[in-house]
Amino acid sequence: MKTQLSCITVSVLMALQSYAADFGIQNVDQSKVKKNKWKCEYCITSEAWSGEWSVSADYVDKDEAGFKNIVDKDDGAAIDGSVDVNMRKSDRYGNFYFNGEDGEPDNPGLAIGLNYGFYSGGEYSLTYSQQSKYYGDNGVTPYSKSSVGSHVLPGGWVGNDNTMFMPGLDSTLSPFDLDLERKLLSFDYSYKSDSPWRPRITISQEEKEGAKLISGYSNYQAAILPSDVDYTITKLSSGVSYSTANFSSDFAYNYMEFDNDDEQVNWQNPFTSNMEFTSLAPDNEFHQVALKLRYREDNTQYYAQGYYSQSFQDEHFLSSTLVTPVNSLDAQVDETNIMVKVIHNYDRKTRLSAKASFRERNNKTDQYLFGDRYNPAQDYRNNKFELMAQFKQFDHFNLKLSGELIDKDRPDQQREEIDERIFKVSLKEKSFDAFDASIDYEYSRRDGSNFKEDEYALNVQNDELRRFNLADRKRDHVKGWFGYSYSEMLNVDLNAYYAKDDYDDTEVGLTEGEEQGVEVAFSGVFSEVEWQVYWGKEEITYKQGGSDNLSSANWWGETENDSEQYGFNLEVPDLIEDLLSLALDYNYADGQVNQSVTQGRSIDHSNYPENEYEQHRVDLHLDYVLTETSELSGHVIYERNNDVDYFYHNVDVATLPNVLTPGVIGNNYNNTFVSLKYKHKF
Amino acid sequence: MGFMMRKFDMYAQTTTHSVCTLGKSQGYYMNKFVNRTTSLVSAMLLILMTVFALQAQAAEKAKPKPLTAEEELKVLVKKFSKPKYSKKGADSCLKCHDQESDLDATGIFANRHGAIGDPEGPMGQLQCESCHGPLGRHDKRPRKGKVREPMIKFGENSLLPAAEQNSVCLGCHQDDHTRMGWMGSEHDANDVACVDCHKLHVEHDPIMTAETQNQQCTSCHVKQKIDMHKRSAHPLKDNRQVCTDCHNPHDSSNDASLIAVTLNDSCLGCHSEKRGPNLWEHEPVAEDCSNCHTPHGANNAMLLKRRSPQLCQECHSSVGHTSAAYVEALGNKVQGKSCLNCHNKIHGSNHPDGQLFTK
Repeated sequence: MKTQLSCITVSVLMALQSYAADFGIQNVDQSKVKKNKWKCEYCITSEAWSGEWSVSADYVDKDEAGFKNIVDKDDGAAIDGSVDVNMRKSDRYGNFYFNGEDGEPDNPGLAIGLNYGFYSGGEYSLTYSQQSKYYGDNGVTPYSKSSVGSHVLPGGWVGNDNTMFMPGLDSTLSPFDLDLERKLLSFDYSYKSDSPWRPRITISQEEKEGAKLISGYSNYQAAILPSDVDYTITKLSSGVSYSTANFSSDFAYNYMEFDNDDEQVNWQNPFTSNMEFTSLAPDNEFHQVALKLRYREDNTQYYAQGYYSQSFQDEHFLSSTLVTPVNSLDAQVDETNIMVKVIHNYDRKTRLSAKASFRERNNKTDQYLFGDRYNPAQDYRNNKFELMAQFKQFDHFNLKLSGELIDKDRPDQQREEIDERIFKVSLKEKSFDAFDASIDYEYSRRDGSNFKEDEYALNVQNDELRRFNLADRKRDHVKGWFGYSYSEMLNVDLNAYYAKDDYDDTEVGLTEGEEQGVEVAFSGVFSEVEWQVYWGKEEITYKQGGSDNLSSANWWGETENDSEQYGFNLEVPDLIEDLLSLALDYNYADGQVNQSVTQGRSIDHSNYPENEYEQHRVDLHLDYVLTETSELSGHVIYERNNDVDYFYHNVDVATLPNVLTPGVIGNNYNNTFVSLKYKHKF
Repeated sequence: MGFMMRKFDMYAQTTTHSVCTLGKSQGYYMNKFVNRTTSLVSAMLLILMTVFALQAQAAEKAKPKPLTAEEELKVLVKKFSKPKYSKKGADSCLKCHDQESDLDATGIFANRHGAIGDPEGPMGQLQCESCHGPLGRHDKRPRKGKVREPMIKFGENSLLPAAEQNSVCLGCHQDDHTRMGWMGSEHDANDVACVDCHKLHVEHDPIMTAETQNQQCTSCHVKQKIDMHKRSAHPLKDNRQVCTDCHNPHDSSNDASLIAVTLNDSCLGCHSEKRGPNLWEHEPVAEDCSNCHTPHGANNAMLLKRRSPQLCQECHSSVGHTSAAYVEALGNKVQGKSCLNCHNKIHGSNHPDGQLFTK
């Protein structure tokens, strides 16, 4: 911010010895500086154009769905390109870019943008981009789309109560892709000058298209089938800021509209051959106003923010077996968030802060009786108070202490109130030049989870059951970091964390969660070669108890999630001096989920399969300088990916009598991408 | 190289031939002359070496002691209180810090901070001295035993604490609506300097560039680095999504430094089909997406914390088929051991028959 303040005096600056020194330009009286003789030889004073264009030839050996998340490209060779043009003048600037769909990781999809602005004045930006997400391409289904968009089975389909005895199933299966493509068009405008007012607005529209799995359900039987996605999301984000020397404020209005082109899926039941209807996500609207205020006085800052939002939905109901009291729901949910915070710098080494926040969700939808149940209102109210003190006056370490009190009230659930106390302590070493270390410890205790007997429950409840997000809980969490610098050639970083959640009053439900992880990284620069080697591992374990007799726990389950990652990076800037540079990255990641459930029955069906995921990836970049303005780049990606069963159905189409599945959808491939790009700067 | 060797050989042959053609007496005097000269040169070299050694020792003794952090801060505060700005602005600085210098500062002109036409930018105000403070005597040769007068420095070479370094940046950048909550934020409280993440003397700041931002953030946030490489993750590892799509690193007033006021608002910005409000709401969905999902990555599909049915049974383990520990894969209860095979509308249903999230 341009300031012509004659505000800061010597006395205030001397006072900076006791408080943190403020070297901000707002403290300088610029009128006394003789700038009339100043020039700047390097500064751009007249119109200047620069930029680059590129042409690339790419090749992908296979277009497996998982690999397309990295290289969004079909099998085979292709040619594409990009343009990036920049204009600069003394008072304005502009940029135009075009990235073709060359599918490279740095350039995932078509992107076009135009940006024009004044350093003091308005800035305009118009952009369009596409981005895809691929889940799998080896699912199978007997369904096809009819002329009216219904999911129908092949002609002459003979239904059966058991998928294994559906005569036409095996011969009518055809593969389908699961992917989503997002197309985003966006316009931004903002204005910035020496005026204290700064308005901004962003309008965007996003089209999301593709296919996702849905389940058609009827009478304890289900058919899982690919359903079209055709969403339009319109957003408006606007606001205006007002700032003076000690006061800042911002008012914002945000709007979002979700429009689902399909309100239902019509599908033919493979068990009965009847047509059925399943609802899809209803259209909705979201409005939000927000106000932020900040005031600074000497060494104290007062900060407040408030949000109020409303969500609406009034989609017509699909036909039902029930007599519905209304044809649609005028659903409305209001949310309120208020937060106030005061931060005081007692001196340059001591800081104190206090924060209070309130959050409420208020479902204002009228309640009606549908069959034997009223539509519920899942409301909650949260209050949170936090105190924090930070001390830097000790010789060997800095200390941070904080305490939080959280009170949650859920008036429409069986366990209505819980309170939580959180204490944190953080130490940061500052004695040694060669190494740094920090350690953070958090202890929290959640209590008050009492059963609310008068609240309606659909089923008979087990008094021993505690839902994990409402249950009493004791949490310990510690994380540490150690960094050592031997020389420019060798740096060592060690990060580790451990957390344990103990649901000590829970017998039925989640009883324990434990998480531990570590990462070690060695890095440095040796003869201008930058290198890094790293290794990380994480283990997450959950334990739970269950009961099938409405009493004490009589079965127990344990889930282990293990992840490991290691690799290296190498950057050689001058493989051939001033001509050829090289960057080589290798990364390995794996993950396993092991589950065991025991009940001590004579027949043990706890045959949950081990789920494993493994990936090797190599990235090789070579840049060769042809001339001062042109460059030839080569890029190779190799990926070995083994993820047999992403969705965990892990069963073929006709394995479960009452469920028609889409088969095993996995991503198991060896794929290579090769690209050669010519880049020219101007 | 071969050419050079041949030249040297020719010279050697010529010299040998010359010596061989000298008479006996001439050779004696010549040898004596050579010996005397050698002795003289050796003596001179010895004296010179001694002198140089003494000088080096003296220079070592006279080498100025670098300022401590406290001393440097004191000098800078004093310079700032009685500022003496340069006579030529940036050109004064670039006499030394040009492209030939190890401390080349000219990269700033490739980005917005180097725009002289920006009245709010550093070049539009006091040029280099907007950020590095008044020149003072920094361009003067230091007096014997003294170090060069310091300027405000940033990053690894700076002795200034993060708060003092950041005060320079905040002089212009704290009134923006995204940075109003910087003071007391997580990064501020943990002494993270602006330049720990931002690079100013380059064309493209790595933290502001999609291809490099995630790598830079996860160099400290290692748990997130492990998460984003898991089988089910937001597309962070390929930079299709960046940390600042969801987080505001300059303000932690909201939980987890989110841009949106709540976690659900953050998720529903993209997954807006799950907003509803639906006729039949699922309590944990309405309250907090992170009850079931982990935001950065998981070993389970759809970023679920645990797989079904165990995840569901942590709350639904009371009566009926939900209470069964396990059933046969061919049974008709937990179909295929996944509750979601039937209860597919788990985020809420707007169907009158959808109270169990099946329609």
